[in-house]
Amino acid sequence: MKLFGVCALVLWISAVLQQALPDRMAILGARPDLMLVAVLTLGLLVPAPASIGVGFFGGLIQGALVGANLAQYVLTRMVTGYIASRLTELEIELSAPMAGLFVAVGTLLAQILMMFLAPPRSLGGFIGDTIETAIYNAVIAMPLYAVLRPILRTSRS
Amino acid sequence: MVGLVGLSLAFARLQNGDRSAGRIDPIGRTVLAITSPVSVQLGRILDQNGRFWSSVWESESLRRDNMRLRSMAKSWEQYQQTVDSLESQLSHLRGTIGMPALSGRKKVPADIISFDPVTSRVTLNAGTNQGIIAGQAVVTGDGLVGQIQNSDSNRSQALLVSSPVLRLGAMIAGDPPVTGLMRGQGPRRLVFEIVESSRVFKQGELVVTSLHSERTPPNIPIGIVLNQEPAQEYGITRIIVIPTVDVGSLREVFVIQ
Repeated sequence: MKLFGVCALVLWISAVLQQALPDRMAILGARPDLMLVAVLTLGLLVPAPASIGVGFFGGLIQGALVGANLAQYVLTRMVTGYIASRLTELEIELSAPMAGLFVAVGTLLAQILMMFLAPPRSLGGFIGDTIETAIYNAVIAMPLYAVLRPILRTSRS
Repeated sequence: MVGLVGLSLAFARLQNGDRSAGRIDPIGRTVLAITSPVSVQLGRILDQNGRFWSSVWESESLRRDNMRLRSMAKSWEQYQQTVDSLESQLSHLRGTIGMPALSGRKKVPADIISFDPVTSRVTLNAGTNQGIIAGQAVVTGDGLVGQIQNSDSNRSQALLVSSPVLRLGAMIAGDPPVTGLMRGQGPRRLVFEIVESSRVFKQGELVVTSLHSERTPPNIPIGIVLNQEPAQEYGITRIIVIPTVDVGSLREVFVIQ
């Protein structure tokens, strides 16, 4: 119940911030993807079945917010959330910077999957934006992971 | 996982059906209803905070701008009197030859509450309750932002001019004006296709909405000419245009009814 409550709260806050912040936080055109940060960071902290649920609802919310194809967002977020969760089963104690790195790689993976499902008009521009977003997401994921880890630590065991 | 994928495909199908009917799907409505009241308030607070601090740091330049704008407003008032007089004459002449009067259009203010650069789409916090319906033009002081695609009671979604899906009637002023179709080809690149013309278009020429749309008023700036490409298809000239509006830095827009 606690796990469900925390995940729902984090996704709701991310959805609110996703609408209000990214354009205001843009640095040299780079914008964070806060919903993806939430999905991947939670994926690092919750069991694999729960990470699929987080990816599903994260993708559903993000797709609904922008009015884009829901299936594309749901599929990419579910897959990357699940992979993030399975990665942490490698018995490594994740530090916040390491979590940031995982979120950056997860962002790249999610957007590459998205690229195949919804081919962008300009491949170069899309890759450039994705790399910038991945770096930005990594920076945001570090404090988020540090805050959520003590709360969700017991949920994995 | 397979069940959830199937569910998402069903949702996507529902979404497409509602979109074709000019409505926002139930999932989108629900998500926007539970998130946007807070996000809109948060956005306003952040904007107010930003404006406060910029007014503190830039008070001198603001004072200068204020004086300049006051003098511009005076000249504009004189110009407006001329425009009113000409409109009155035009209306009188249309009446004389039995043509219906041109109706004035109402502008509905709205905030952009969500922007997706990937699908070139924005969500606005105004909908059918404010009279917004599919096809209406979304504008700002700099020009055309896009066109409403679907709406519900308090929300609407618009496709941006940069969307490759949107086709807009456009023209370049001149004697005679050149009209054609405009479509997006990236966030900062539009393509204006016209029937091949001997006229050479110069960099910086303004492209505006055409005279022949029922919903989109004419002469709204869309972009400026960057260059003219050699014809790739027989009889078609392609002109590359940069949009006048940068949606990334935009918060408030108007929907023209």
